[in-house]
Amino acid sequence: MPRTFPIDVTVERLVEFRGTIDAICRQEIGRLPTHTAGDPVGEIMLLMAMEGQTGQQLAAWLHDQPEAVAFRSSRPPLPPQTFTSTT
Amino acid sequence: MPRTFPIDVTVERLVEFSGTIDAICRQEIGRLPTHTAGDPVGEILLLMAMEGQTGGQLTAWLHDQPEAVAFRSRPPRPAPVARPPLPAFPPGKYDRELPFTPPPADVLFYRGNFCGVRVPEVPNLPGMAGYTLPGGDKSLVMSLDVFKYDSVEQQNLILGAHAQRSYTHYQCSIGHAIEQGWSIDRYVEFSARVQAIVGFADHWFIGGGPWNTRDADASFWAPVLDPWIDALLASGVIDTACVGWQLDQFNKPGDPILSIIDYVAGRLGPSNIPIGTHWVNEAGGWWQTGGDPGDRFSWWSRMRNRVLWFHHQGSTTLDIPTYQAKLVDTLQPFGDGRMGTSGLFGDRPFGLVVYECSAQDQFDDPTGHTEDLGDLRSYLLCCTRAASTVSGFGNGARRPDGSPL
Repeated sequence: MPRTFPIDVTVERLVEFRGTIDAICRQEIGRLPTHTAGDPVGEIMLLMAMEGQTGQQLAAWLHDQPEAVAFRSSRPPLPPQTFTSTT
Repeated sequence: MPRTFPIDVTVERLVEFSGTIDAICRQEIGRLPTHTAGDPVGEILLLMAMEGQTGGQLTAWLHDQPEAVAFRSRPPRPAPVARPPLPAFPPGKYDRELPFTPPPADVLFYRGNFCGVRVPEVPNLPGMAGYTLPGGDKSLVMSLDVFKYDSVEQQNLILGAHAQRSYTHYQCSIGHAIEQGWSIDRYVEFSARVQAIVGFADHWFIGGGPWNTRDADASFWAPVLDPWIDALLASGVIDTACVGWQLDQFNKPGDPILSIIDYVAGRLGPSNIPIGTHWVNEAGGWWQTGGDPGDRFSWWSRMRNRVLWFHHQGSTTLDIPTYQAKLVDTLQPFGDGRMGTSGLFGDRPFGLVVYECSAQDQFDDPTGHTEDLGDLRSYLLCCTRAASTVSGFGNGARRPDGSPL
């Protein structure tokens, strides 16, 4: 079954989408997509981008996913500032 | 303008295409796509797949590209050679067995020796270890020395010596190449041979040769480095990178050095290139007193999504128990979470590579400080037990029985 996207999907746009998706994933879940069947976050967002959604819409979608929620709540707090070392 | 593809482009098909494209690229050009404007091979293949072309058609297209042709004509990788057991361990109470199982060849586990490989088949040249010493060993070729040799055959002999020792990473110091008059094109061609013969090309940026400008920041270095980084990325001949040599020796702490690290991370991070740093005196970073970051914990938090590891340099005179104890001071908080995590490559903990533990001694006295002793010292430091373990070695190493580590 053919599939039509509302934008012109070109090599240049695909490169742009890839960079945007990686940046959003780093920001929202602290890692890059693995592009596997068990972790298709990159492909979901690529499809959203090809469907014409903006970077903000992609970020908003990922922001609400359980992994992003867990990531925001699991960042370790900074330790006390009194420790000094050269390393 | 809308675009219609003859197949149903779904999440499942995109995952399938991604795996197929990666496999084809590994086979035909020996690397993964970088997904950058200068190297859009992954996107070209993805578009072909969405247009309904088969895996065979994708392979055929890539097979005919210049990079694939060059990949097929690359020089062969020498077979590993058997090496003798390590010398006797020095006395003292310390960890003597590896606390981890090293992975197979892996870009994220550093196996290299920038300072100790002996290559007696090539001449000892001015500026190299032993050149001004009467008699004694003149076979030490540090990785940065390779650019002194005009002969491709001699360069390949040097690279081959690393492959024979089963090392997988070769340090390529761009500043030292420039010092010898190398052009970007020549350096890129050499880097492709590094990948073919050794495995992973590890590029070090500032701090070598004429790239030693003091107290600069990213506004100075970006236009200097950009053409080199552009060429390395476009040719797919960069596997790992280090911001520079001994960064606390010629820069300013705080914002200036942070801006340089941020710049390198910004250029290479999107291409999934592991990035490291290198300092002196056991340092892993350089913060400004009273600044932000202002201690080692906040320094590493600041490195999140930028740096994967650092190349540790310690004193050549430290005994092994003391050296291991000092490594624990960093490996422990790397492993127990107090330093945060990298955010990179599956959000791994930050890494410490035992990089430089005997280089100065080997350079000063290549006869007395042998490659075997360097391998021994590095191996024992890799045995350090803490909440995390080392991410590899850059000073050479092998197991006590002589087999590869």
